[in-house]
Amino acid sequence: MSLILLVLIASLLLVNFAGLALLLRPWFRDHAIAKAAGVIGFTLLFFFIEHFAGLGRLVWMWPLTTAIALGVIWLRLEEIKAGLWKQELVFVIAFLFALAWKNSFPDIVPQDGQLADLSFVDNYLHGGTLPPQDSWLPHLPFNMCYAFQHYGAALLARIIGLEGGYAMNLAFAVILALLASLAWSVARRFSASRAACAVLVVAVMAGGSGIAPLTHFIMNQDAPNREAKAGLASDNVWTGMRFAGSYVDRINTDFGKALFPPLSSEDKPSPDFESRDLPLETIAYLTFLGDYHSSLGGFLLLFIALACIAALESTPVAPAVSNSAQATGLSRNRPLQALLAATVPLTLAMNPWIFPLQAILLLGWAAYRHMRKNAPDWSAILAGGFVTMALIYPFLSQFAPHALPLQIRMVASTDHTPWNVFLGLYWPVLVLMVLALTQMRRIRPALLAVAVFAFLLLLSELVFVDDSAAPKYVRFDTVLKWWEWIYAGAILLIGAICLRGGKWVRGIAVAVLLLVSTYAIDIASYWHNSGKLSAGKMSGYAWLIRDGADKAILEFLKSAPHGVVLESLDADAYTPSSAFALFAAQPSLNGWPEYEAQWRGASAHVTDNAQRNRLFYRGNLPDAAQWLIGNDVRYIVWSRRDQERQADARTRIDALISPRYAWIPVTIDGGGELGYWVRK
Amino acid sequence: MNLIYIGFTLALLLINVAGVTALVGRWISAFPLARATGILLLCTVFFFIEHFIGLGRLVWMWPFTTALSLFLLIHCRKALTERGFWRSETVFLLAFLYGFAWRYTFPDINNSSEHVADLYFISNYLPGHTLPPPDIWYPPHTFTVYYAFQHYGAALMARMFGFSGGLAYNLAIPLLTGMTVALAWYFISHFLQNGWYRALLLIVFVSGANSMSPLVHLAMNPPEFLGPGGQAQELIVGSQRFIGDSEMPSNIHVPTPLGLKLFPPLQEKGKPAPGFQPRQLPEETFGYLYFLGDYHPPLGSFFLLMLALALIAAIETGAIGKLGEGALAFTVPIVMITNPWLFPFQGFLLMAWIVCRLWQKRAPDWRMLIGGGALGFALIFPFLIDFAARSISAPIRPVQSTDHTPWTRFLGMHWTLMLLVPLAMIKPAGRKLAVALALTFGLLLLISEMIYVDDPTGDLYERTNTTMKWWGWIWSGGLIAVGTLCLASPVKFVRWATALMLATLCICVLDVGRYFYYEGKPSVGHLEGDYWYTANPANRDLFNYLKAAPDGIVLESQYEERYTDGGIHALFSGKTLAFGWPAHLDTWRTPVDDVWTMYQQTQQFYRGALPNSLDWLLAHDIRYVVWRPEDSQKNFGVFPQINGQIGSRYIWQGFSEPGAPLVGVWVRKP
Repeated sequence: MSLILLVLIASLLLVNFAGLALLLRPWFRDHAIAKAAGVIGFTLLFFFIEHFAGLGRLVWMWPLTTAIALGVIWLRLEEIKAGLWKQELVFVIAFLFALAWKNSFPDIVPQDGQLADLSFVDNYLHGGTLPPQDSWLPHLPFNMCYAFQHYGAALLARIIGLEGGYAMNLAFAVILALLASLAWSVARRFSASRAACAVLVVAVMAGGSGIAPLTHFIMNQDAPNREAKAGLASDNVWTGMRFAGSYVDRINTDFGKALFPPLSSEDKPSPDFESRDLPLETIAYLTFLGDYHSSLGGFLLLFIALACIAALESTPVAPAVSNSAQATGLSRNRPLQALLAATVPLTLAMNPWIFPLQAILLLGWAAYRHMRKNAPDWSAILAGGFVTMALIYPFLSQFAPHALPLQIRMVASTDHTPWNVFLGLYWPVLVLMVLALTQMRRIRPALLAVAVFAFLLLLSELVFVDDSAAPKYVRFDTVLKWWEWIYAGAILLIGAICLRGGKWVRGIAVAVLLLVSTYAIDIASYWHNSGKLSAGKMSGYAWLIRDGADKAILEFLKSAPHGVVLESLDADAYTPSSAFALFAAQPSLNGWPEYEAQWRGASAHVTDNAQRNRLFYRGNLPDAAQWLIGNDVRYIVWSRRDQERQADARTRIDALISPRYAWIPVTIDGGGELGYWVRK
Repeated sequence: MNLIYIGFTLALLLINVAGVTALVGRWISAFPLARATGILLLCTVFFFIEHFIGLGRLVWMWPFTTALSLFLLIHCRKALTERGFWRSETVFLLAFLYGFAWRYTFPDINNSSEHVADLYFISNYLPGHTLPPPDIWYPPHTFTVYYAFQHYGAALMARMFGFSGGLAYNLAIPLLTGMTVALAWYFISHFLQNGWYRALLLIVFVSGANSMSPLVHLAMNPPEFLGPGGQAQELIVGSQRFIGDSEMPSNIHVPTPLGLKLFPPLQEKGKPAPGFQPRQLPEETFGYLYFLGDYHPPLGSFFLLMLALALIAAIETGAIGKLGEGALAFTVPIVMITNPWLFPFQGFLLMAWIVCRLWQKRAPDWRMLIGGGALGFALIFPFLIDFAARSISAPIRPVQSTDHTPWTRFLGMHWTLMLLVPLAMIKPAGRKLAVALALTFGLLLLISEMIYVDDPTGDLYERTNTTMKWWGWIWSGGLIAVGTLCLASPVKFVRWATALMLATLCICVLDVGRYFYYEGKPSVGHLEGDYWYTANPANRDLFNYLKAAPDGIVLESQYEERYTDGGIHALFSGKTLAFGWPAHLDTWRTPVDDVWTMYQQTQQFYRGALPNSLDWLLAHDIRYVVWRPEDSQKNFGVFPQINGQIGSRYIWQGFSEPGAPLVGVWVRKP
């Protein structure tokens, strides 16, 4: 049944997105770009409007939009039959792959940052005027984080009538499919060979860093059973991403130790020196991880920009699909230039960390055009930038005053990436850059691509954004956000350019891309060997309701009137606390205090409330009822987790709050009672 | 007075149905199909719309729809008469009246079988809230866990005509069965000219006869103490539930010596494991549901099955345009919200027809098929969003060797269809449809023995739900489709053999007739369905009081996990019950720990043994606490104690006469 629903939802999305792409295609002249621009533009328009007036329930929309989409498809049927379906096919295949992955691993669990993502989506679910109530700090508005991508997932939920978790899993698949189709668009601009393009798209979407092909040689690969094999595959996947600083210390083969000798105490600049944690995450890793982080949105803006650049700068290699767009060239196309410019301000709402990178990419392209004596259309660029800026302005006016101040500093000598680790991670990009440079005369955009990405890579080694992290993590956040962008962009654009090179260049490039793609083997191994207990349960809470009492609590909260939920804290982050509230689309009093405290600028109020929560759940908060009423708490959860922590605390709590809160048991067993309190 | 009211009610309903038929008949010339598709489309479109916005009270509609219907019928009477409209209406009317006769005679909606559960499904939809509606058996949750489309249809009728839930229940059954029989008749008439053959098929179909019907007369000997009505009932039930049920220890299931030889009971040494119990593998045929009186989802799937068969007949004979192919595909998604157990089978039937068309080298109209299917899925999509996410997991699994049907019993239950299938294939030239349909139902029977739907029930009931739903569908569809085509065979032997087989099944008519004649009829004509309870004046007064009282949650005692009277006060008065039958809620929503806890606490409450009972009532927002005669019996002398516990916030309203068992309700003070 759930599979049938998923198929129906997928069909609905495919039809709507296809209609949107067909509608915008006359302007952007590229199916993938039109689709991505349409999806983002549609979301942005709602994002803008809802800062003035929340539109509430939107479930009435899908029949309307579907009817329009079907009408557009009907009108353009000849064009689709003539060959456009092939471009649609890339999106469909990628979407089905992504959906199959999400369908296998739909859980939104507390071990990573997924509950934080869900809280962002939840904020926007109710359709009120923006900024919305913060579901992790209900007395404050959610205006201190950039969550445009989460707004998109919530919009999807509101239009189709889905739960937040379901929509988040679905939106994840949509973004991945958009990325794949954009990557295909870039590849096809430079290569006539579909096989070569497919290799590039696989390398970009499922590939790892330069460490990926080495993992099996530098780490012991013994695994006696399926469970161990799944664990090993997971380790391999992590090794490819968190190599510098974390996994480099776990190398346990002679070959590995020869390549990456462990840091001896003599080599350390100071006795307490720790290797710097410098993560390089790829799209494949983020898919594996399952976090609906803003990185995905960052990739989307990057790929849109690269697809625009590829469309603007390439000369035709393949026969025109259905119109004369490619034959005449798109170098003067104004909508594409406007869209390219629009991606820069959009980063502020999507993922501000990459704002400078996206800006440099745009400026690099503009400089390249001037150098080529083919000046960009500045009016289109200014219009694209200005209109987008105006559309995100209502958000920015809320967000900017609450954003944490960050400073850019030079990287200290001890914080640089060790040269062998840097080479290990980046050799595929470096090889592709060298290959592209050999083709500079034939393929002009090679200069632009190599110059921009080489400069950004260098920049990432010279400066960082100082967010006052501990020494081991001093560059962590910067590198996390920047390297993934640089790496994916470089592989895609420079890789595509190399595919257009001479035979040798193309051959070597394909070999490099295939080596990078070996990362997918570990991911496939993980998929094959791991248990899929929650398969098909796309709302993401199957893990939470394995116990009957917990299921009853969640079901009640889902149906109960809107109200603040209290759940116990075992840790300040990466804890199941707030899961009941989030999956029931209710606000949680404490959320994850560590996250909230950080976002709110080390708020003492947040940490103080967290401390009271701990006292409360042990039955030791003297003014418990007063504290609850003061914080407008309506529901208090007493789940299996709470019983296992301290079963006898429940009666003490009940004695403290019974005048104002009624106890509703859902299970009474040998261990005591489980259930919830409801404010009288 | 009651008769006049019922008569006019029927007239109103039938005029509106005829109006829909005449209107849709402009596009679909075959009137039984026009009637069925028109009403189906109306219900589906309302169902779709009300997932976006509940339309509330609709009682203002009937004057308009009735006027429109009358206008259409009068204005177009000539054309309608020429097209055979009145003949078609007569068939439907007779079929409707047969069903109505059952409900008029036995109108009680009581705790037997699924009567109460079906009324509960209907009642969820009565207020006209945006769907999914609040669950009146499980506040504050919404009713998302059951495929109750046909109940929505009954509630829509109730809202349009201002019927109570009980009346809607008792009128929806004849309406749905009437349309189903009219569709079956359409299929039969298309292939058969011989009136005797037509009548024979229809009698077997409507009486609920199956292959076991004659055999139970040989194998079972219902004891005298049951009386003639009870004996007939035993034979009717026995024909459907013979496999497994007949081996349960009981003083009712008495086998004959011949029965023991024909169907030897499982011996201790033959058991695969100690304690192994024979598997309960029932078959519920279409006609059996008249007797059962449940307004349960199999009715809806029989309707959709006959609609599909009638559409196939109409398409094959050119009586319907391309629209018919779209309508055929449309039925498949609708099965999903009516009785999803049959979704794969309805899909299989559609596929078989497509394959048959390709075999005939007459490709179907793919656009219409895809369009019809897509429209159906689009209309049910808003329902599926909530339903699919919360429905329990019930995967399809292969049947384990120990769960297979014992072969003699399998033969006993299916011998007719097993013979009809090869008979239909004799002299196949020019009869590809006959071969295709025979193979389809034959294959489905085979499949039903190889796989099953693994729902939460287990052990001897592992396959019960599956065979109950599947076998009845296979038999009823096979009987009409394959039976008709056998009787239309060019080979005399096939026709005669089929007629002979079907004639032997007609012994069921005797059982049904005896049951109808001899069974007690204390509630005849009380179509609200509550007379079995409100015949007692105190109960009646309590019902009336609650019906007029403002909305609020009602608490009633429940001493059994399901099939109890606990809950009927809330149900018949349109109120929300604190919690419904726990075992049913558990089946639909498993697990429901909170319901089981509430069940235990309610029993404690009615024993006067629940600590803080007043707080407990208030915490659950209970407004009415019902005390019924059974409470006094089960908890003798406890009433004053409970009154003392809750009297400070709840006022007692008694309805019983002095000396009679207490009946009444505590009402929360404002």
